[in-house]
Amino acid sequence: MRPEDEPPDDAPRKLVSDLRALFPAARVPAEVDEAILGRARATLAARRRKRTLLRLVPLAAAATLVLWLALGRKERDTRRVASADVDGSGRVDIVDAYVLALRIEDRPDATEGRRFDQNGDGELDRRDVDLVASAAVRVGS
Amino acid sequence: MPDAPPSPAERDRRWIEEIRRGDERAFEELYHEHREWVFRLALRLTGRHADALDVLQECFAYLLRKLPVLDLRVGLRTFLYPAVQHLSANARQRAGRAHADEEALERAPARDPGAGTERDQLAAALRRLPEAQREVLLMRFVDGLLLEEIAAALDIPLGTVKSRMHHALAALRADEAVRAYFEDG
Repeated sequence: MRPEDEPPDDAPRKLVSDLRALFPAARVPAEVDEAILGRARATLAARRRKRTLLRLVPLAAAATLVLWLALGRKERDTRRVASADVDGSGRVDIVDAYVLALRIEDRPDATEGRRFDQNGDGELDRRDVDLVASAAVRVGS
Repeated sequence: MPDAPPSPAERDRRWIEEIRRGDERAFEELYHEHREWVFRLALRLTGRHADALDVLQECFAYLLRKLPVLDLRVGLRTFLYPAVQHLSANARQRAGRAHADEEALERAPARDPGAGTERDQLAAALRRLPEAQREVLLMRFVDGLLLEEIAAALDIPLGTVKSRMHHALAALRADEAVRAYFEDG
C-alpha cells in the first residue's frame, strides 16, 4: 500500500499527549488582548466612517454637478455680454451694435473677427450685430 | 430535527462577514476563539515568549488588513498558519536565530523536570527527524490541523502530507528511544 493510501492518523494517544506537552500553551496577558482588540475597534470604526462618507459622495457629486452647470451657464451668459462690449465702454448698449456694424464694413482681420464673433460661426456678419443688439436690450432691461 | 451546529470553517466565515460589516463583537469572538492557538504556534515557531506575543499582535493586524478582500474558503487557522510561520521566521531572523523547533525541543525537558527522560527522548527523536516530516507531525498533533488543512496551509499536495506523516511515524516507530510509544496496548 502506498503511504498516501494508508490511514493518516495512526499515532498512539500517549505519543500525541507527550508531543503536546513538549510545546505547552501559555497565557496571553490581558494587556496584549486589550491592545489587539483596541486596534481592531479603531480600525473597524474608521472603516464604518469611510463607508458612510462613500455613501454620501454620489449625492455630493450630483449637487456639485448641478451647481457647476448653473454657474457655468451664468458665466457663459456673462461672457457673451462682455464680448458684446465692442467699443470697450464697460457696458453693452446699442452703440456697440452700431460700432460692430461699422467694423464689419471695414473688413476686420482674423483676430478682430474672432474677438467679436458673437455666435462662434467663424464669420463676422449681420448675425453678430443682431446678437449684440439683443444683448444690449437684455442687459438694459 | 434541529439544525446541525455550524462547522468551525462555517463559523469562521460567518464571523468574517459580520466583521466586514463593522461588527466589533464578532471580531472579539473570533479573536478569543483563535488567539491561544496562534500564540501557541508562534511560541513553538519563535521559541520566545516576547517574540510570540509580537507575532500574535502582527498576525491579527494582518488579518484586519486582509478582511475587506478576504475570501475565506478554508478554516481560519489554515489561512493564518503561513502568516504566523512567516512572521515567526522574521522574528527569528531579527534575533539571529534559525530553527526555533529545534531550540524549543532542546529546552522542553527542562521546563518539566518531573516528566523524567521519556519526554527528553521524544524531544531528541523529533530533532532527528527531517524538518519537513517534523513539521507535518507537529502541525497535526500539536497545532491540531487536519491533513487537508496542512496541505492547504503549506500549499502542497495532500499525498505529500500523508507521505511525510507516514515516514515521520515510521521513523519514530523504528527509533529505539521512543519505540515504546508504539508498543503499549
